[in-house]
Amino acid sequence: MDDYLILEFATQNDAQSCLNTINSYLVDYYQQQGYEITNGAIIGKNSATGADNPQALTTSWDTIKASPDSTYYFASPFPKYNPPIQDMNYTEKAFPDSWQEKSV
Amino acid sequence: MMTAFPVTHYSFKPTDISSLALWLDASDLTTITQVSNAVSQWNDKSGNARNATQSTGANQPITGTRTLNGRNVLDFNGSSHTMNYTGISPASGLTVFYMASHDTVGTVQTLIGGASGSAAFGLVNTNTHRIVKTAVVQILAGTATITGGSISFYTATTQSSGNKLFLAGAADNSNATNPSYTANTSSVGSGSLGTQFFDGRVAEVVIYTKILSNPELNLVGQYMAQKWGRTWTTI
Repeated sequence: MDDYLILEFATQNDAQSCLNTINSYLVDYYQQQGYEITNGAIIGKNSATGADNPQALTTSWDTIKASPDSTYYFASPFPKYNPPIQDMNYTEKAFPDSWQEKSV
Repeated sequence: MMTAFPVTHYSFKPTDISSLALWLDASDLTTITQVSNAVSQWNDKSGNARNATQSTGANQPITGTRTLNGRNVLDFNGSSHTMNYTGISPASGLTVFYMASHDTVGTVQTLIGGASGSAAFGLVNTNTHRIVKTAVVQILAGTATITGGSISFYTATTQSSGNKLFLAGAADNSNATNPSYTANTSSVGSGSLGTQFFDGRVAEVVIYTKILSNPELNLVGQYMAQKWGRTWTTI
């Protein structure tokens, strides 16, 4: 299993602010890479032809989840991406095993 | 006197058998849409347009980086990667084939799943395959032990009169339990509630909404075995 790093926040507002910054960064990043953008979402390209597929959108880096510790978190964009969030209020950590939901 | 007949090469496809509900084939790059190798859509080849999608970047599996028998596969990370498709009803029974490999074992990993009450297929933490009624009860566990890095070429049938597991055609286990599913199967790469993520390569998934006959099981099994460089024990 790959290391699953998360960014943990004390408040949902802090998490949302950081996620918004990451999403803006990714839109700019992929626009520079030649991807089309529509309504803030990145349009995917067909693996065989390179053609745009307007039905296949990447709309956000992640979604904000509440943790059992009453904090908020989403997947860390590092090291794949380097968005300008270093000064924001988060802690980067490995996803705790104790947070895994148990089910049959 | 000999008569010359034109030679016809018959090439079986999963669509040649009725009640095909889902066919995901990672070797067919025309079915994959990606952003820098992160897959946002994996098109269904069954004709039912059950395209698997994932619009959240951190949850998208990876294409173009790993292979099986020289063919492209999708890489699922075991922690967040999952895709969803329009649900498949288990009402008339399900026959599920998948070609995959586990990077790690020792945890519950669902390859095909859905909401609570749906049929799900994958690995239990004692490292055998299983059929489960998601978030409710395990229906059937296999007996063959899976190791990290090994290929999982699995077939499962599940219906009200009972359930069967096969490993590359060889019987793995069966029982007569009525699973009484209450929801549709609708995801690849995880179970319900975004848990039990699959860790490894997914090459191909084929699902029928009926119980295939043994000759039909062999047709699909032999097709997948040849394609992905495996052997199939005739049922």
